[in-house]
Order: sequence, then C-alpha cells, then structure tokens
Amino acid sequence: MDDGSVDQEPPSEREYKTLTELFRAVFPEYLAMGMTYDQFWHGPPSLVRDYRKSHDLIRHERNGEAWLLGMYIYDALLCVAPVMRASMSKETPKPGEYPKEPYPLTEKEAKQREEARMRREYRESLARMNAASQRELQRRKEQKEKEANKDG
Amino acid sequence: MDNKAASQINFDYNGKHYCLEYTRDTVKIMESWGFNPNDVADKPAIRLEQLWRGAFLANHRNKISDAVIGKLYDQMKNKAALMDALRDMVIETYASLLPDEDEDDSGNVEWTTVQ
Repeated sequence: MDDGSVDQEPPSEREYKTLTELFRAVFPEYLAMGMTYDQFWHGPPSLVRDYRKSHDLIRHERNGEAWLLGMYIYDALLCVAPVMRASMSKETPKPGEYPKEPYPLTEKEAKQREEARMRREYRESLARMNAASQRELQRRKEQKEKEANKDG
Repeated sequence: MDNKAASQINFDYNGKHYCLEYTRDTVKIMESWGFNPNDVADKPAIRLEQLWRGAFLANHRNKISDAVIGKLYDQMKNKAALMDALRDMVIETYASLLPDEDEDDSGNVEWTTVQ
C-alpha cells in the first residue's frame, strides 16, 4: 500500500493490487495539471481526459513561446555579432541556422516529424526524377528532330 | 476506449429521482467492501450486489437504506443490461486514466492490475 512518501519507484514501473492504489499513485500528476482533489475523487471520472488534453496544449504553447524567445535572442546575437568580431577574420562567418520549429516534446512527436521529413524528401526526390526524365525525353525529341531535319 | 460510455443512470421511483454514478472515491469505498472489478464474473452474486449498492454512494450516501436499495434492484427491468452498464461505468473510473489512441501518452502512467 502507498505510504504517501514520494521517493519510491515511479508509478510507470509499478503494479497495482487495487484500483485505490492506482488512483493514489496517479493523483499527484493530476494535481500538477491543475485538477482539484474534489474533481479527481468526486468528479466525473472522464474529466481526467480533458485535463490531459489541456495540459498537452499548455506544454505545446509554452514550447512555442520558448522557441519564439530563442528566435529573438538569436536575432539579437546576430545583430551584435559584427561588433564582437572586430579583430577577427575579414570574411563574415556564416551563422548556424536557427531551428525552423520548436523542439519536439515527446518521442512520438519526434517520430511524426521524422516521418513527415522523410515523406517530404521522398516527394522532392520524386519531383526531381520526374523533371530529369522530362528533360531527357525533351532532349531526345529535339535530337530526333535535328537528325530528321539533317536527313530531310 | 469508448468515450461515450454511459456516465450516469437516472430513474424515478415513488416520486423520487435517483442518479446512479461512480467516482474514484466511491470505487475506493467499494474496494474496502472487498469489491474487485476483475471478479464480477467469478462471484456474481456478491460483486453485483456491491456494484449496485456502490452506485448509490455518489449521490445518495446516507440518504437511502440498504432495504430500499435492495427493493429498487428487484424493481429494475432488464437487469443484465443494467449490470453491464454499471460495470462499464466502474471501468471508466480507471480506463479514463489511460491515454486515448490519438493522445500523446508520454506523460501518462502505464499500469497493470494483479489478480
């Protein structure tokens, strides 16, 4: 039975003999999401789903805000960079690229992005191949026309 | 998990309205009676009685006697479907803690119950 202490193995690695034990184990997570004692224990059971979705939206919004703040800092650094490199090389060094979107928050999100990137690359390579084959066809056609003109 | 499972059972009897539902708190109380959702099929008589009695805890605690609860059960039509609905409502108290398929489950707890 849960003794109320917090320095035990995480809930994800435990087995529960009773539902009461399970409820007690996950309760602090829902408190952290903003759910009240009454809502969790006495409210409609399905309310936890809405809290999870809301928590997820908040995490993504914060991640987006952090990304935007980083963008401002990045731009600010680029603005002052010329002053800071006064005594260094004459050529302006090329800055590293700032990430195009916020970091993925979960492995699932990272996987989805990776899959989207692979699909995008596949479509782009397909388009390049199509364009190359079109060009080749056009070149052959022009070649044939030239030869026909010569023969004629 | 079907999010549209019934969350309450409402009915009127002798001019009084009854709203049956479960919360995590009432499931906790039912477990203190020895209720275990896993063995409703093995010990139907005991477990179904606890399932029915427990459904009154959320909204009618200390306002209704065991005798009336028993009488109401006798009066209910289609008991098999009623018990299925009640069991689904109990399941919702813990199944709702699992992420839905379209949900990001990274922050959620994986768990199993022990028989």
